[in-house]
Amino acid sequence: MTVILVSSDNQDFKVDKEVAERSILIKNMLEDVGESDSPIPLPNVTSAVLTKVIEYCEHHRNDPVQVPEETDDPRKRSNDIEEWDMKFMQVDQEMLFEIILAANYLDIKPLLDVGCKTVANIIKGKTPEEIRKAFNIVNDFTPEEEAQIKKENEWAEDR
Amino acid sequence: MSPRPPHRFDPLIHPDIVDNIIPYLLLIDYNPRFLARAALVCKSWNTLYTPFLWRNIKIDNNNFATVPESLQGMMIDLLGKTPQLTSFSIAHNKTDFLVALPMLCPGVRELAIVYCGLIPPSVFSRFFQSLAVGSHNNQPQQQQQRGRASLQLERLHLCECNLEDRSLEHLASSLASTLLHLRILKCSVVTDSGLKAVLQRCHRLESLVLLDVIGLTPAIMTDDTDVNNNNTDLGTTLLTTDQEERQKWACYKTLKHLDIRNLGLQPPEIFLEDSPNRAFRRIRQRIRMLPALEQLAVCVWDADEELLQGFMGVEEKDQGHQARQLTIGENGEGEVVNENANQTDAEVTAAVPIPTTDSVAGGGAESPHHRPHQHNDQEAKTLVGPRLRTLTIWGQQGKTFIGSDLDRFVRNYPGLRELNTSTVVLSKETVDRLREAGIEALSE
Repeated sequence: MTVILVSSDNQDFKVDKEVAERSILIKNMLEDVGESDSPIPLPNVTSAVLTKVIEYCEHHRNDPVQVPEETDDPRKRSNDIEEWDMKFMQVDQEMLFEIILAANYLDIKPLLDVGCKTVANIIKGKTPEEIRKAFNIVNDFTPEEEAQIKKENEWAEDR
Repeated sequence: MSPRPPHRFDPLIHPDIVDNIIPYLLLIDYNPRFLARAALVCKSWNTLYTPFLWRNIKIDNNNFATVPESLQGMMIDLLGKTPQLTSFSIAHNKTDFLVALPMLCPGVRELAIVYCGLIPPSVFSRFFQSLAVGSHNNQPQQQQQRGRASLQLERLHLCECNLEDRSLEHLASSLASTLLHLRILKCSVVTDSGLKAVLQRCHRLESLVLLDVIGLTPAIMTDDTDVNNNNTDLGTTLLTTDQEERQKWACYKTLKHLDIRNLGLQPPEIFLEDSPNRAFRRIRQRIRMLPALEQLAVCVWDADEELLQGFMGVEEKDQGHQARQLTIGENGEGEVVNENANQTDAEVTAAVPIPTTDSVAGGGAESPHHRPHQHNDQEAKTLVGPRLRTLTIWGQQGKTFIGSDLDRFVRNYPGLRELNTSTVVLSKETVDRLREAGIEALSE
């Protein structure tokens, strides 16, 4: 059985139901509606992003569904990213963010995790200035504010 | 069937997504370094990342006066955002969320639960039980492998809680090797049996405060039958201090601060098994088995003579107490002595003349009877038991110590620097003589 997903720029994507249901949002919608051939509009996901997301879901179509309790404990997680996922995530930053947003919107937890891990790996090991540079963020602290926060959080650096 | 589009947002400042990023920043030993740096990036990052760096949270009834029923959900939400928490204090009758604490805030070392009298004892039992090693299946593997308790509490303060002996037994077995400071106040259901479980297992305790725990009797101090049978011979009591009795307090080597002011404070007619003197004898015998004790708050009833004798034992070959003679120092802070115990050796030695320094230098290998410089008769003996630095005495108004009595008192408390008393009448002569001996005396 297949379902049709429609991206924000009105492109149709025909995918196996099994693949589409990697998205909890779509899964719930299909359950609510029951058997139906009507296409599912995803007005928040562009075709470029949806292509990537479907590629991910195709690859992981046979993965066991994560049990919520397991994933709720943050310490269960690991920083390791599967090789395929790593390659999959080698995209420019804008696409990375789009994938994270789409994964959050479509409720595809494993994809969201991989995206967040990738962002965490960019943040890790960088100074605040390097983080700003990496994500093109403007430092809106006054020098006094910055010094104050630095002082308050000093303990964390010493550990 | 069109899902409503969410509005566009920057994933780096979206709380849901930041919540997902943070665990990965903490993965190496929960090291908060990367969070601290993220909090410095800009204002919006600061708002999102700072709670994850919080270390102390104190909640009392007033904070939640208007929304008590939603407390549980709010607390779990809050605790979930504060993985760096080391100190948590709650005064509220809805503390069901306590069981979530080990998982949400594994770094908590200090926990205060006060005025929580409406929480049923089973909640405490379950909580303490859950702290036992390996009791959480979803503990991180590394912690299980290290064989640690799931929450390594070092300081525990329980006041007006509905604790039962059973809760204390669970506490004792879960926290045996982590707990350093225990305060139990106004927990009326606790009895000797529960506290004995704690004393038998918690071998690292440095301070123990038991106040207004009306179920406790002086029998927690010592079971020794000699106490009951032998009313007179002080020396004998000392020499029969056997190891077995000593080890009933597993913390006997480490305990520095003991506050049992209300234990046996009841007027004599309320004593069921122990006469006041026997009660004091139990207390004294235990205190002599605590060589590290520096600070003691105790009640004496009709026990002037015993008080003059001091808590020092004499003539036993145990040399263990000598090491701590070096640590005797000035301390004007009263009950918080343990907070300030880390003075440098230089400071301490300078502050207090220690008559037996030479014997310490001798390494203790020498026989106590062949030491070169004896300062006086008292120091000629190997002293066993605590050299108290701070002594707080409650009880019946006693006599004024003057003249030879006072000299005896001073001799028997060679390390004493502070005396707080409602028992000894402090005349001007007494105060002056004590000050001469380096003891600051205060009437309570």
